[in-house]
Amino acid sequence: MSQIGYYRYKINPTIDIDIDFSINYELAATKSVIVKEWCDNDKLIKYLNKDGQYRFFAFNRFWESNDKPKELGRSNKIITSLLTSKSSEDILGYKNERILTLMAHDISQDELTVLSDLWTSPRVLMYVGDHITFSENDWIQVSIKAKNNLTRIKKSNYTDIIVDITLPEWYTISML
Amino acid sequence: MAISTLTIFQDNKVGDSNLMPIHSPLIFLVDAEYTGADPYFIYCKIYNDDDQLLGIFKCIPYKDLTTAKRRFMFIADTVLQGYMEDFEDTEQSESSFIHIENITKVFKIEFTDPEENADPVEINITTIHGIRQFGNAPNLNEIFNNETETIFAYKNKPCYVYFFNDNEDNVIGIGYEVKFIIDDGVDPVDEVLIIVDGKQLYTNTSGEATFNLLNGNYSYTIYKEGFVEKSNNFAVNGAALIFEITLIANTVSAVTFHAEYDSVDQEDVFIEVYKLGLLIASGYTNPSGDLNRSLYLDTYDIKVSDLYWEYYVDDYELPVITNPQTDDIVIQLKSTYAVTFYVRHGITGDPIVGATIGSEAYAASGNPLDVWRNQSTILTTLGDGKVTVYELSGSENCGVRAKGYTSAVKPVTILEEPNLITIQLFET
Repeated sequence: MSQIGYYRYKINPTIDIDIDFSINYELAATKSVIVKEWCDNDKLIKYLNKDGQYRFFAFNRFWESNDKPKELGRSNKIITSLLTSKSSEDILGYKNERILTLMAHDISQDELTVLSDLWTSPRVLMYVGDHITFSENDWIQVSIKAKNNLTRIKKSNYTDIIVDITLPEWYTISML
Repeated sequence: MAISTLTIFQDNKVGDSNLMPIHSPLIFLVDAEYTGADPYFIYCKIYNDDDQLLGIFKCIPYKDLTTAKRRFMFIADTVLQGYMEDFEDTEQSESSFIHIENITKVFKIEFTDPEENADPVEINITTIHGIRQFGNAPNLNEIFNNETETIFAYKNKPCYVYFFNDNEDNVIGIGYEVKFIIDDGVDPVDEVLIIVDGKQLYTNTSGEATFNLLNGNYSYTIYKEGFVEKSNNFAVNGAALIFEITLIANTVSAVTFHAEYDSVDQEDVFIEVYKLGLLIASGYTNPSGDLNRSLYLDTYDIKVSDLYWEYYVDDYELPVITNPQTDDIVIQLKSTYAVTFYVRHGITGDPIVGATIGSEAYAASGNPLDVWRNQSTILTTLGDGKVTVYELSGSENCGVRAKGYTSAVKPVTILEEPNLITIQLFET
């Protein structure tokens, strides 16, 4: 007896593997897992695809990071001494938005088909863990914007993908 | 103002579809009884468990049910969709196969008529439709029919594989767990290759590797360099299996590969030694035609390449059974055919002595390195305007040059003998 609906099998594969799913101990479906190499400096993204299934994609180590700090505000300061006072106002601090530009080289059409769900995924998470654990706090939710929302490559070629990942906004130290 | 609760079921089913909140807007129908002024539209505020306002939605008239009962419709946007905590996966352990739970979310909703102060109205919400979301997109996808799918994953990183069950009488699974636990008599052995009917796995640091197999007959092969290979047959029959296997250390043999043809030692011949598809050793022969390698007593697959073009060696199996052992590589001669080039004057037909023949590029370049096919030098016609060489069958253009004549390119096809290639040159 079983429940109706989706089942999920979790593996940490080391080599390409076929997963055979069975119904009443008879083969019902085979899903092929193709394992790609990975570097510690790569950025691993987890996202919900159009079928509500989590998929993973690794962008290579050639990523860059840009900050977009915005001032929280300023407070007036009374000048009590012309000799020692440094300014007439204090900066309260900043809120910062960090954008990572990630790249993936030589993406095949098959990979792109899987990856294209990323452009419209409602849930995109980026791995920030130590590459040992994969618990809940090893992932942060991010927003994604592709430079080019490509979904099909002409002439069955390979392509490069570049995306901007916006990390959750955070506040710097404030001097209130 | 009317306050009600909104419960959204996120069913893990195709058709009813748990997946709708991420596919399309959530559409709700609200039946409201009212007294007083006729409410043209009402606003709906949705709060979460912590009384935090998630969004304000405009409910527009959908249908008049009676004179004092109207059905409104509103579309909840991504604020509400995003709130749906779904598919959390971090609790799932490796190699587990779980049913994805249905999700139920309860929201507090508050309906207000924007004109209620001007036109007093009392609204009573009787029903909210659409708490179970229906859709039409997901169940058209082939993945829902459990067809073949390719999933890209990363080495040693989590990966999810989904499977859909549409009948609760089914017994579903990923077969029975067949676990191999490998040790060397003392400690677990990692990186051991285990092959079960073509599926390969390596043992982890605990010496374990687990296959999921359906009922049936299988065979396994266990191999790690330095240990004696083990193979056996087994059957899966309605239960999980555990094989605890102790590997036996193997003995090393000093193996000399010797490449020689017609009493001439062959230098720089490349030899590769494979075991179950894994490259174990490789190298080039020295001037004596020898390559020395230490191999464990076992049977290996040997590949030999980089031979002189007229020679070849078929891939072969080498049982290493003694220490030391010499393997005399059996080099064979390829079939070659005589090819005669005849270069003559294009008008008089007189043979041209000293015409040179190389590759197609040679006709233009005159470079002595642009030789034709497997020949080691540029060919030169003799007194009768002919030169004869031996070559493998096939087709390739040749380039011809002669002093005082325009150079020429000629297609050459080598079949069984005789192969007479006549080339006519014209004076410049």
